[in-house]
Amino acid sequence: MSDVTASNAAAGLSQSPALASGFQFPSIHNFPPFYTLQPTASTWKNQAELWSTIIMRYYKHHRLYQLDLDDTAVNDQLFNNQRINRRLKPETIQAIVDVMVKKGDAEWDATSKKRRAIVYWRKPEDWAEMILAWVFELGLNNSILTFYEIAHGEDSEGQEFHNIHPTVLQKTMEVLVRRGIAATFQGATFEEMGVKFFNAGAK
Amino acid sequence: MNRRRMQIGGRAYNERLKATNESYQRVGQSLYDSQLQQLQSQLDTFRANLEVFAREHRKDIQKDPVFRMHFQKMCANIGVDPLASSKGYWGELLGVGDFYYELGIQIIDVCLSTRALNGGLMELSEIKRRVERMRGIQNSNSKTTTTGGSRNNAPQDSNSSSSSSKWAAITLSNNNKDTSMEITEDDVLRAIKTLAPLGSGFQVLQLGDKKMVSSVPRELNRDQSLILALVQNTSGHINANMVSERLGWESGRIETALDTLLEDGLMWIDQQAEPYEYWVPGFFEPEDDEIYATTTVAASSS
Repeated sequence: MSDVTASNAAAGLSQSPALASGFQFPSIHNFPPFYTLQPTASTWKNQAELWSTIIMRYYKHHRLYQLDLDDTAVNDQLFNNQRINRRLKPETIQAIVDVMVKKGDAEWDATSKKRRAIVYWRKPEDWAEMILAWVFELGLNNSILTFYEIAHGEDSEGQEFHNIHPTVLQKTMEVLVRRGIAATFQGATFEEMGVKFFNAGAK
Repeated sequence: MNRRRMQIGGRAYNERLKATNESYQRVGQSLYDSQLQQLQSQLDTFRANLEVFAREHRKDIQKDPVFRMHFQKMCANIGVDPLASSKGYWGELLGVGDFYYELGIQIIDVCLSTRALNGGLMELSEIKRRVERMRGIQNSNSKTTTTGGSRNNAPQDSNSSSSSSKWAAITLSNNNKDTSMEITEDDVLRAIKTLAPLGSGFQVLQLGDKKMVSSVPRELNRDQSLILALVQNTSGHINANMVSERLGWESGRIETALDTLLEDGLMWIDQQAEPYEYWVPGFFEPEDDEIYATTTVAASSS
């Protein structure tokens, strides 16, 4: 019994479920100056690019969507390197996300005062293609699906968009509506929103 | 009368002398000719032999770095430089000028794709390491006949063999590394030299006991050079105190030198250290090259 607790404790301590589940940080993640916003513009530009690449890959690997400056669980993995005792300051993370937003790789939650952002490691256009393919494969076109069914339904289990973030799903649906492939219907809640795919969307 | 005879005799003597001279000359000329002919035929034989040798060993010249170096030395001793250009007799015969041309392109590629990280200054051995891996990867993609397995063959410096085999273990586990893609630092230097006429601006700098390749036209001032040389013995990073200790400069001079190194993108600063640490980038693991490459591409296209 005490053995079990000990090993549980050890598991809890072993600082990286991320590593355990296979995300390999590039070696620059262990480079101490990587955690200081570089004062030279060209160096900073490259540093921000590298950080955004790492963030996108990390988020994709773990199917994460929201970057939250107050979410220590994720940030301790990504932005806090205990091995070299360096961490990104919140201002630096914000500066990096700003760069990502400019490139369309992220979007600040307008109400969050730059505390939360959605990370688009896949573009809404690409999600749209993926969901569309799935709908037609299952012959669900011409019937109405709820957002819940797409994001959390049994049929979408195993799909990459299973458990997709509501904001990302919303954006994806907007893409489909704009392209005239789908129409959405108001529901009482976000998850009860409905969507109907038209045959015209079939390829 | 007497005198006249003498004159006649003298003339006859002169004529004889002239004739003798001429015949000597003829003999001399024919000797000379035959020597020349001999030389010519020796040269022809030599050239033919060198041709045969080069043809027979063309593959070795291209694939085996040690062999290539010896061949290069031998040719340099007799005043030909067959590897320097793909144009001309030797280049066409051997197709080896292309070797340096291709290597040059790969060096440019390595230097440019890492420039944003290291400010365009890279250790020669690091370039060699990365180019070698690039060649290995290219080879695995467009693989034709050769399958590796002869890995123990060539590398004289253990450094390169260990890093490349490590890389092989990490990413190319299903692909045997091919020694044909191996190169030496000598090859890299030679290829950089062949880039010079293109106005590439590539320079080889001696900093401390290391050769560094600069892909950005620049002049390092003396203080910058001294610090970069110093950093080689301090694990790639340094602070003002260390500079003061080892070089005995006053603080204003140290600050100026370190600041200009930051501005030139040659160093990164770590402000979470006390005192601030200045780092030379460029010692990152090979498995990350792909991330740097994609990042640079993204950066330049945006």
